[in-house]
Amino acid sequence: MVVQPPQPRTVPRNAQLTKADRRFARIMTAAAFFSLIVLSLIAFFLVYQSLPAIRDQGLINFLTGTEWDSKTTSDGTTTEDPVFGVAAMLWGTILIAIIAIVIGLPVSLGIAVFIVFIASARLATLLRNTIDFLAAIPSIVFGLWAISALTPVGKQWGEWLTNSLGFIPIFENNLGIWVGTPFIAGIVLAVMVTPIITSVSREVLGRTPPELINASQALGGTLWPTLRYVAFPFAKSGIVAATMLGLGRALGETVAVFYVLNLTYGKINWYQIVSPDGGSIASLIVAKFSEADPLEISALLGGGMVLFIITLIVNAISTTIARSTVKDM
Amino acid sequence: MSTALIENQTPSAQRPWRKKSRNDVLIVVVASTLPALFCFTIYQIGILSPVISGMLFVILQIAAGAIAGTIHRGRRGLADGVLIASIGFALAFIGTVMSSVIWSVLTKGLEALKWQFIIQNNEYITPTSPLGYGGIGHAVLGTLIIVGIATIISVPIGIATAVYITEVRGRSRVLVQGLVQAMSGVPSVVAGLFIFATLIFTGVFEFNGLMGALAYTILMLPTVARTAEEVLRLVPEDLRSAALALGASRARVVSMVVLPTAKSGLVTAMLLGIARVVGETAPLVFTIFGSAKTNINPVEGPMAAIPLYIFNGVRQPFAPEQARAYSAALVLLFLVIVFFTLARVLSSDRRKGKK
Amino acid sequence: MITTVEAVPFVAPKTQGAGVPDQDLVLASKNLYVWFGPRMVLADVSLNFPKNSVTALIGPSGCGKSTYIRTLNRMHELIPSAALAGQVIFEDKDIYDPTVNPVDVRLRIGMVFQKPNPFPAMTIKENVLSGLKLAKLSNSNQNELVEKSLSQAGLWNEVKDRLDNTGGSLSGGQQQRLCIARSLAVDPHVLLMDEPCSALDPGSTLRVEQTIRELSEFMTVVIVTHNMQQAQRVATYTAFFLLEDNNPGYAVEHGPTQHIFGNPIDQRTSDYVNGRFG
Repeated sequence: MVVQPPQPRTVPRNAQLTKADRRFARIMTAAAFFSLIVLSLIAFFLVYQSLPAIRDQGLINFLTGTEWDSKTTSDGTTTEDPVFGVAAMLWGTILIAIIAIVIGLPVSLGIAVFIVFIASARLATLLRNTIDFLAAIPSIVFGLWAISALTPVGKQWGEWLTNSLGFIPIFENNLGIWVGTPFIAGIVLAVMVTPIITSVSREVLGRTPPELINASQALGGTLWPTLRYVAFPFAKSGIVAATMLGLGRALGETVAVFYVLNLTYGKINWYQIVSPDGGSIASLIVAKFSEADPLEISALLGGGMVLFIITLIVNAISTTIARSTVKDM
Repeated sequence: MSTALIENQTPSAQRPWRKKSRNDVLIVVVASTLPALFCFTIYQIGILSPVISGMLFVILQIAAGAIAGTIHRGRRGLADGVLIASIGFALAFIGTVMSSVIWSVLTKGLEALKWQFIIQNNEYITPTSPLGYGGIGHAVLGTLIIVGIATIISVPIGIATAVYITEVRGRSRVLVQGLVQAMSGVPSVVAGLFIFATLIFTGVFEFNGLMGALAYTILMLPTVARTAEEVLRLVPEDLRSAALALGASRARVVSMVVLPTAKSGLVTAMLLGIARVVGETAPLVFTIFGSAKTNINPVEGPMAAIPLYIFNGVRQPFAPEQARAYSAALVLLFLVIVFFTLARVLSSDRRKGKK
Repeated sequence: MITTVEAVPFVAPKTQGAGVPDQDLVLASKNLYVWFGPRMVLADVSLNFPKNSVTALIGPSGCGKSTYIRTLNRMHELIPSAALAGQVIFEDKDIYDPTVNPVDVRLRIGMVFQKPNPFPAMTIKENVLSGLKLAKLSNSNQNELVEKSLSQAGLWNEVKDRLDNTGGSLSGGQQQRLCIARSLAVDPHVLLMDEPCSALDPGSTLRVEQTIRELSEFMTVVIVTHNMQQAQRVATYTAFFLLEDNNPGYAVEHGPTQHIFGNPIDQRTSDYVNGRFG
């Protein structure tokens, strides 16, 4: 006998909630949306407070200009119109972040592979803790290290690079000074992003299904084929997401870069990484902040807004990639 | 007697796969020393510039890895040899950096580190004052107060956010997760600027400790929320069902079962949040202004904090002030290690407790 | 919020069997259909649970026994996509009536889970009393209640000297009896048990079964089990659930335990209890 089943009587979802439950849920929801409020307030106030400077300079000039000069003399009088453009600083920020990733990514992957596939359990734990500890070291401490230990070494390397490989454009240096270069700032950032990329990569590599690894090894696959054909395809998007996370960190880093990077206004240094012409929005803000008049502060807030938007985009890409990975699995 | 008998009968545990033939050891030793020796000699003779020698070393070392791998395992070993040589460089890089960072802070920081340095404040101290005077007591207090306030604000909100995501399971939990993620990417300099732009630039507040704490909150909240979320996910679903089956409301399940069960994990979340912000400098530059005097009132007047003290001190071109900055960095590093270790110990306890 | 579910015609199941009284019932389901999202997982289950009896629900994995037992105290609806049709009558009232508070239902119809799950952050004593606190009930004599509940669960003599230890310090079987005591403390009329012994060793299993038999002197027990010997040892009545092809699961046969295992009416019941499939 074939029959039509009855329509379900659905349990209304809220019926299971008592009054106290609903109040509880409301409080938790309110707290959860705190982050939304903060993010929107950040966006709103940075835009709002930077409007005077952007209006004064024009949005296009602000974004494409390379000069940054309040034209204020030491006695506080202004003779010319101030010029504020973030282009040189913006590209400088991106350039040192790229150097950081180029150095930091292979190092991170090497360490992650070592922890997951090679090291004994005890060594892996030790290394994991070391990396996590490295991630916890404050950036100001890296800043001090960069001044006292890295700069002399980095200066020497820069000089050697120019002398030996100066025919390659990125190693050109016409000034004869090798301190304060994007190269040195990039190395500091590489050290700072390595723990971030390592710990995420380690996690995604560690999630490679053991049966796949076993299958590969049972077929006679040694380390490299196992990585190349099993682990990396599996962890690829996780590693990309980790890299974006590290990139976001490198773009926003302030004090460590501030100490070792020479800021140059008036031109964009596109590729000469061992030349002392650097840029960094975060460093610009810290460097100019204490002596700025209200219009320059407004311009600095505009710089902060640009930085905020870029890191938001980078982070959104990272989250999207990470989420699509989860869906795939 | 009887134990000896048993020892005779049972074979001792062995791991034949761990034994390396003498040949293998020889290959590894030769492959890992020969390129270095060769390049060092070239460099000493002065045929090639240091950069070229260094690069030659890297290339030769990787090639040596490839050759060693091939000898050891045939063609399949080639890629493995290259890989292992490269990983060796990665490990050497991070090991060098790690020891160099600690070494540089330690050697330069110990000079000024005396008990007086930790408890005295910096009033009447100029950058050239000798090391026996003045200290960072005011900055230590300032850091503790600022971090304390940030903790008081961000821990409840962070845990509530995690509860919303894992327990209330509201409709927008994916959105909230995304927002928390986005917030964790806010650069620290932007967090400081934001507080400056909203509360100080507009004239609502002066520079004071509370402003620094608010800037820290922005950075701390996502760390706390994300760690707490992970911790709450570890609470077995069974416990929630059991509590519901006993007639508990959702709110009581959370407050009486889920949160107490996850207690040590939530403490870990708090400690990781503290470790995240305690060394942050950029947010303080725009918010607390810094001070040489001791000020323990967070809503009145400028305040000092260790990171800001270091930041300003190291820019002074005078040896005593620089030495003081390095010592302050050592104190800061010590604080970070304390929070970090506490978090580690607690979370490993939790893992053991689960087994 | 009404979810409409596409009505796919299917062969109407019919539960066979006789010998289960329809008088003096504590709990009964009437024409119960259950869905997860659009998928119907149980069809037309009508079972009676007489007062102070033990009813075992048996059947192969995935046939909906656990889902069914969760509909009996409104735990089913905690899964977001859940829906159902039909009635569950508890003490002459439909528990799915809009006026009924699910919390009251769960207080009167207790539940014990597959894996022992004492609250790790509480002591043994607090675990027993947790039902009171969780549901905000008051009881003037807590010590007496602790002793009574633990005695009924057959655990009192083993733990009376260490009531302030955490529940995690007990063995698996003791933990499960602690969970039973925890359910008993709020004085339920029915106890639902979802494979309560599947995570226990044989010794602990026998001890828990003894507890179940003792409980049936004053309350009604419904137990899901994969272990047919266990069903024969503890149950007065047995219901056999089955899932065939793409049809939803349903109750094939329901009757006194010795009938189900001795001379079942349905051929499939006979095959199952004699180990010919499942």
